[in-house]
Amino acid sequence: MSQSSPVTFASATRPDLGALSGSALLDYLPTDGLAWLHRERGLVAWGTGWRHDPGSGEGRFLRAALALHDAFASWDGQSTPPIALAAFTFDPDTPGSFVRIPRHTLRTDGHVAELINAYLPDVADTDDMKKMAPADQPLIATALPAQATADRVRYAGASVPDLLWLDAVSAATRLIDKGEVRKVVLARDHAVWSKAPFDARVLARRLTQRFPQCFTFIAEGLVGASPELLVRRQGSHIESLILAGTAARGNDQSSDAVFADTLMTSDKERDEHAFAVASVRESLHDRCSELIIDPEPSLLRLDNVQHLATRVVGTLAADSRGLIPTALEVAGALHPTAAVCGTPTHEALQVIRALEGMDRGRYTGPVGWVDANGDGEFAIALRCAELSGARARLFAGGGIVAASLPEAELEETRIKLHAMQQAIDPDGTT
Amino acid sequence: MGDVHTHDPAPQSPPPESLVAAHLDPADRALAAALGDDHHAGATLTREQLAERAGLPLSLIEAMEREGLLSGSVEPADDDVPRYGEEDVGVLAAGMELLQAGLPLAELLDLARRHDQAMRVVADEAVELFVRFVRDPIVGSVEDPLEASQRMLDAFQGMLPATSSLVTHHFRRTLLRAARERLQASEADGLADRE
Repeated sequence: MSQSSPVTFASATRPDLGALSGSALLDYLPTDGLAWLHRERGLVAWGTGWRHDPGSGEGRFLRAALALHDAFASWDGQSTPPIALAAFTFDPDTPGSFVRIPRHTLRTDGHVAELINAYLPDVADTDDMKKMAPADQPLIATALPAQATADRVRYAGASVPDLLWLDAVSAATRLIDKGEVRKVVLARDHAVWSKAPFDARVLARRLTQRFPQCFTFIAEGLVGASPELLVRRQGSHIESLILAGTAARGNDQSSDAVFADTLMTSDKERDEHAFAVASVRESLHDRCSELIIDPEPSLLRLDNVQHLATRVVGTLAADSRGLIPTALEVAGALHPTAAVCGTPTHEALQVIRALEGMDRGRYTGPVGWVDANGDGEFAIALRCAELSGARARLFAGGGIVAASLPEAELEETRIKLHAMQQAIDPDGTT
Repeated sequence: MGDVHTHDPAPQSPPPESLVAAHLDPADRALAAALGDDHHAGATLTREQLAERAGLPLSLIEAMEREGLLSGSVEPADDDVPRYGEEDVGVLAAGMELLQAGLPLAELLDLARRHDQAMRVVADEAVELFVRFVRDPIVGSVEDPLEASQRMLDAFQGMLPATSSLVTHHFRRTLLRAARERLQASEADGLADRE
């Protein structure tokens, strides 16, 4: 869907803000903004310059890419490339995806901050900021509240009771035993409520502090910190990180090492991981002139869990149009990976639809940013919550393979949920 | 994923015959028979029948077996099929009561595992006390093995319900005290809901 008039872009560096590090940007963000933060780099954004709903169905990534290509067409190619943020639902049939070029995007590389503005001139607007140059636009840092919500956090139930989820996992293992599918990821949710709205920025800041190696995002109510880089694209160079296979962290060094060793040598975990690696290889193989995948998984330790991890680097080949695919297009080609869906992909998706009993929304969908050069980063939306006013919906899932034990999967999801529960409610136990 | 918790599943109860082996001290034989009988009597339900009686999915019964939270009697003559009785139906009904009140199964299982591990430590120590202060003195002072065996059985049959009564009452009092303290703490913080 191309718009009637071109988007106007303007940008300026903001040396007046000093050397801003990623999560410090959150102080500049209004409550309903967007964010993407990773260590010292990141961006926060607010307002809408241009927004597109790619709809549902298999063509949504292509529609999004084409619409964005049109929106970026008016960029002069010289100044700082403008940025769009996007989040997609996990299930192609589910609506709720978006691509958005914010009105204001404040980004930092850890040294210098930059403001990029975008707007459609034909939109009736009394906003004086539209006429103001990005170099002069006032940007005020306001300290965030101390708590994610001003009231007590309380449990609000789950879409599927644990007992039935346990039974669903058992049903999935029977399908695997019958050979109908080899791996399927089943997820569940856990809702909480408060009498005061949840503040995404406070949550995001806590997540950046607790999980500095993760990509922290705020995307129209979806807030999380994901360790799983779906794709980073810089020119024709791409990177990806495959995570599948989980163990808890130990309370001390020796039990931690035991859990790690068990994870690295577990056939079940290695199988689960191998399926995820195979699905990424299959998606990227034809798109890359060069693809290098770690031959053996390594260990990625996060605050509360540890994962088997495989790193991927590659060089994108030009497509039939002679263009290098953008980060958004590569994300669309990779999604869904076996790490969040299963193997074979189509059959696993059918099993999820039949057994999971809930709408994942944008949990386990791609979330990230892409700029007018096609560069960008997308993560898989994991370790996240959907905030909606004074209600939050948390998610966790696990990869089910032949050797999976339903009670162990239930316990694994309980631990994964704990990470976000602690971020929302550090003193409580909801 | 298997190893989030380090928990050895309890073995299924062996049939009493295997305890009454030739190498067992004759003084222990009556006790051994009584320990085996404790579960065996009246256990006729299969897993599937137990699940149906309890109104719970079979997958939960199987999970609880693996966790050692449920164990049936097993007889080789019965193809080693675990058999359950009315007591097990009662245990599951109690668990259902908690689930229906709103406790998520994941939290309940986590608590049950920790309770189980704590109780095993206490149970091992209680058995040690029995061996040191009941069994050994009997065996050391009573010459006739049949008489020793009977005295040990009598002691066991008196001590088991007494121990169960102490533990049950103590836990109930402890639980109520914890609830009262929590209520007082939340009133002090001014966090109690005024609805």
